[in-house]
Amino acid sequence: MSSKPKNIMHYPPPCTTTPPSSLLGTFREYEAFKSWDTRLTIAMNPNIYITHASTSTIHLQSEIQVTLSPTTTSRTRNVLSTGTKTARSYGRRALASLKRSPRSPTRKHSKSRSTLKTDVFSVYADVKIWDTRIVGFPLLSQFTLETRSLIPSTPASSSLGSHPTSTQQHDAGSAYSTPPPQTPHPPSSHLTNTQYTPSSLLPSQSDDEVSTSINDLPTELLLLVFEELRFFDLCICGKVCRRWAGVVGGKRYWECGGW
Amino acid sequence: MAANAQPTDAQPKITLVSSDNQKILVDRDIAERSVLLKHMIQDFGGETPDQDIPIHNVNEVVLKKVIEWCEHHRADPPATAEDDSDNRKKSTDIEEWDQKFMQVDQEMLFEIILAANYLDIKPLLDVGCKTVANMIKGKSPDEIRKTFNITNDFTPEEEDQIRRENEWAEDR
Repeated sequence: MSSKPKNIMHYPPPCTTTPPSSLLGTFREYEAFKSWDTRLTIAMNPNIYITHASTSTIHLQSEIQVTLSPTTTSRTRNVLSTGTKTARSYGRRALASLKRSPRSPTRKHSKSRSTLKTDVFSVYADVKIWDTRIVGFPLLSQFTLETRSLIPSTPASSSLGSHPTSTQQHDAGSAYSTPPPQTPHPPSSHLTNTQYTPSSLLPSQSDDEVSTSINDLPTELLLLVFEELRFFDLCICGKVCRRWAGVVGGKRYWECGGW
Repeated sequence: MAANAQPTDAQPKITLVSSDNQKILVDRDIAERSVLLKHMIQDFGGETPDQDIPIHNVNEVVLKKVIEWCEHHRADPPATAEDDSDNRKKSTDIEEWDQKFMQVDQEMLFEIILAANYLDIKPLLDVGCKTVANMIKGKSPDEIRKTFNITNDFTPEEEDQIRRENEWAEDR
């Protein structure tokens, strides 16, 4: 299969439209859990996942809950355009009830900048996706959102792939960072070029050759495979890797990651 | 390849275009094994569409493989709602022909599964999932990782926790 074209890997097809810039962020479906405290760097448009999860009747946008972690004290701001209507709490973090769009970002962000001494800040987000086929079983994902588009006039910004300076991370869950001030703010169209597909949809990076593996299957298909197994084999599957543990066992394996 | 790989003249034909822009001519009834294609054809008003139907997510090799399966199963009764419920057969029950059909490398196997899911061919999806399930059954976590080239990404603490939680099973 060495001659296999790369586009077979884009399953489901990546969204070809420009993502809402306020939702640009990073996303890793399950891999996120192994880098719980680190900043993720792949841009994500949640619409991709909506396509991805359509058979599970998931609308990701309705499930996104975001908390800003600009300081050690949790602060919640309505900054992102995701349309969620809920506000919940996870531990000490207050989760934002998000508005469709920032009404007057200038004032808020001016205040934010003066407080935080930064032009661009990141959002730490917990994304909760409920797979309706296994009731009460949350598939938890994590991604970091950057809200640069909300501060269109700022002269400074970090690039999407940049990593926060460790000294500027105030707590383990914070993805807040201060960008290098000399970096010009890139136009939003530049944000999407190569970083727009969830990592689970990207080809394996281990070889030059593109290869489809079992973990390229979306969760709903992995579940179909697991449905064919007996209980004992299912328990074994829960010990294979984090993703499988999550699919088989639900939330509890994530609890040691800080939930 | 099934014996009747080439479309018969009596059947209306549909041209599918794979993701790598290869055209594949198939009989309409074979294409309609795919619920996706069936609905697309219905959207044409039930007429056999004379334009090409692009299958963006499936390349030529995989698409031909899927068509091969559809050709072999062209006479099968369409899936009913009951098939989706608890009446599904267990994974040991894979037809002999299907077992041979699925004797491909893993990459092709998963691509067939992805294609079957995309094209909405539930019986093929079932066969694929059962084949993978059979590759898992009876193996240890390490053997499963080796089989599918999966990295063990648990932290030592998590492995400890899992081991503690599963002691009851391992003591057996």
